[in-house]
Amino acid sequence: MTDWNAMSDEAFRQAVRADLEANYPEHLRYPSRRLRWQEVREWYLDRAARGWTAPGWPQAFGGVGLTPAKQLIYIEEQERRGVARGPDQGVVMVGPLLIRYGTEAQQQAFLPRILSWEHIWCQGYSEPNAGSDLASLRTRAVADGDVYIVNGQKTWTTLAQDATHMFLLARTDPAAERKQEGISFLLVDLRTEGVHIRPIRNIAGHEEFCEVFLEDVRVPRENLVGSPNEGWSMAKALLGFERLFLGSPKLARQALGRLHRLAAARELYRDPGFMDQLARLELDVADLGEAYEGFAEQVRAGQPLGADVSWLKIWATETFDRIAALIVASAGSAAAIPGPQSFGDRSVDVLNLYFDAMPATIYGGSNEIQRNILAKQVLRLPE
Amino acid sequence: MEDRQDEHRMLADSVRDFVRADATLSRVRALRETHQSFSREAWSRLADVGWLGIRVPEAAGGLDLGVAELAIVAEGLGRGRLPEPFVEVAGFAAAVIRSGDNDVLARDLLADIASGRRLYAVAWQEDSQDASPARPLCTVQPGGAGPVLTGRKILVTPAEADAYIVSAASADGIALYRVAADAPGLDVSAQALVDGSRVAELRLHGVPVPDGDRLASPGRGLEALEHGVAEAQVLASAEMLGLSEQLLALTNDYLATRRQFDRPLSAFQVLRHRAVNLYIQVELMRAALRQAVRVLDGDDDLAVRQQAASRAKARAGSAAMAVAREAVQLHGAIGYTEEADVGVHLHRIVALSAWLGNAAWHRRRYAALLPRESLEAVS
Ligand SMILES: Cc1cc2nc3c(=O)[nH]c(=O)nc-3n(C[C@H](O)[C@H](O)[C@H](O)COP(=O)(O)OP(=O)(O)OC[C@H]3O[C@@H](n4cnc5c(N)ncnc54)[C@H](O)[C@@H]3O)c2cc1C
Repeated sequence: MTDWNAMSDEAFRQAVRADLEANYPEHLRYPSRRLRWQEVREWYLDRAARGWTAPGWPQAFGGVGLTPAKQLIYIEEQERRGVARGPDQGVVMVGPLLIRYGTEAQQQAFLPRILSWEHIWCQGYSEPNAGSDLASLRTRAVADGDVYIVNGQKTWTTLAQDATHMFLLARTDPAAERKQEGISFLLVDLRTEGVHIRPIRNIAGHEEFCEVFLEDVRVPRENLVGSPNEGWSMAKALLGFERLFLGSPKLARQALGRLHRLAAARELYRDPGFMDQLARLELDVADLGEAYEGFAEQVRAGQPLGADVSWLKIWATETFDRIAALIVASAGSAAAIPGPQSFGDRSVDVLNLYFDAMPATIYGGSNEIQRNILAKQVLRLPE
Repeated sequence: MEDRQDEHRMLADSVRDFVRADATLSRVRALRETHQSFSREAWSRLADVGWLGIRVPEAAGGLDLGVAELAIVAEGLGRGRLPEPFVEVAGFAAAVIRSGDNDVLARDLLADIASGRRLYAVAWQEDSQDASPARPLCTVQPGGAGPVLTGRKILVTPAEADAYIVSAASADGIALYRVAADAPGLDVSAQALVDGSRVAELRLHGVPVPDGDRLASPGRGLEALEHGVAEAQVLASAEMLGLSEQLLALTNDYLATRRQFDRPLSAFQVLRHRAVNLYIQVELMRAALRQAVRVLDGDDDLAVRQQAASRAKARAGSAAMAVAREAVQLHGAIGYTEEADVGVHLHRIVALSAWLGNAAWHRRRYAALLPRESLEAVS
């Protein structure tokens, strides 16, 4: 078996790149929306067969056991190739959760099925009345013999319609003094009686997130992760270096590429007004890339990320948004036309990145919440 | 002046009542599902209250009022997000038709518009990257049995018009013709825009146009078009103002009612300021529109009208896009859904700001039309 970590970074990068170039299907590159499981299934099952579902998990649990540095390279090369994101909550969230806090029985029951994609997970945190203020969540889990009976509603659950399972936060102790206390982590099989999933169409007309209703859903007690009422601190502890990816320059770079395509087709390079705006955005992305490398360096050195990484998320998502807006502004009357269209001999989708950029400033902790974090924890402004 | 202000207030009130009595947003959604731009039934209700004939002479059954009145209606219909193509037909097409030089035909067409009997769409655009009507490739040429039109037009709105007003180049200049939707030699294909409205691509393969169908002669066609385009740009700005006012109202309501962290979102000072920023954008749009309406109702000089139109549309295009984007943000995830009203307004703003020149195009034209002295005075 290859010892990937023993390879030089450069050799590893070349190996990953060559593999993706040879094997990742052309028609799935840079998809214009979040793809459904049916569309990416073949690719991810192929990865699974090669043992590459979970590059970051320890080998003892069936992962590749890559060091953080190598994981970053792996992710960067996927971004470079435009690999479609899969329903990765099992790999990114549930795996690390169970590896850290799960019982052996839970690990045996769930980890192999994440690796094989037999189970597909979605994230059940947000509720209609608990968005930014997640700790006010109301979904209740009441112990009754050997089960919890769960009642409540989750919402904005990305791709719940493709998932078999949901990891959710539910209130187990309503009497707790602070609302962050009394919340537990539960693993729920979505095929259980009492679960109803309704897809919600987004502003671009795609069904990418859902409402999930839970009515007297009986969840085995052994599906509670960690200690009861400790869910909040576990959820926070799980926010590891994944936060770096919310600040990845990938989307902004992809949008810049799109802008260049449009500019070439429309001969905008001759327009000094356009060039000024383009140069401004190029600089925004270049400096984003450099800042990202600074944080990535911390991850490579095995250091935890601080609250300051919040600024990266703000800058990455707002730069993406500005580029998407300039794409729209550079398309003339064609900006009203949805879907790919031809500009000369080039095909360009003008609007999809505009709609993609919109929620990025809302999810993953809205940019307003990120600014609150920075003001409090980095600038230490007194309240 | 006092009188007109009162009349304008009453007109604005009646537009508000009109849209309130109509389930406009659910109609927008239903029309999208059934691939239609508008409902003929709602169109005839607009005719019944007289608004389709605001710019139509009394002799043709209209009210013979000004751009001011048309803009009030456009703003109110935008606020209510009425799906019907009011600005496109009662504004744009009517203005082009009025500015032609075939009085007999114009009278018939304007009477059709005022009565709601038929809808006309101006078919001027051929290149999505060119917002000027001055360079059509579509030609009118003598044929065996009279002149024929040959060429292609795009983004003709509404696609479901009963007839199109087509611009065509001849050796003597640009002329305008009425072409029925079912004319021989005409292929029409329709496509939905981001707001669900439908635009047509016309392919004209030698469409015969008898003299009686010529709305404007080659000496007059371009000017007629330019006058109509300027008026439509101002009316589109008015509709965007209405859409933005509604987005501001929706956002304020949401901030006041949505609670997080045990208080309404409106209690967070940063969000209060963000709402105020939206309000300022709306008021700027209103100011730019007001001057444009004044110019269009008072000055016949085309360059002056174009500059005023560009000022209004440059402002409306950028301000409305900014308001729409921010309204989504302040709503959080719910603002990103199709079922939220925010999106229905946002889609229309994206479509209108791209129509007849976007903000960047209008800034450029505005600068080009500045008198030289004022440029020098700045430097
Ligand atoms: C595309 C998408 C996918 C998602 N996928 C998932 C998922 O899979 N699972 C899941 O659990 N959740 C998911 N979410 C939900 C996401 O986590 C929430 O949208 C987010 O937490 C914000 O909550 P909210 O939408 O209720 O907005 P709200 O919290 O109601 O916020 C509304 C506005 O007020 C601002 N605001 C709120 N509080 C403050 C404050 N204290 N100070 C200043 N401003 C404030 C916000 O920034 C926002 O602009 C998804 C959301 C989106 C858009």
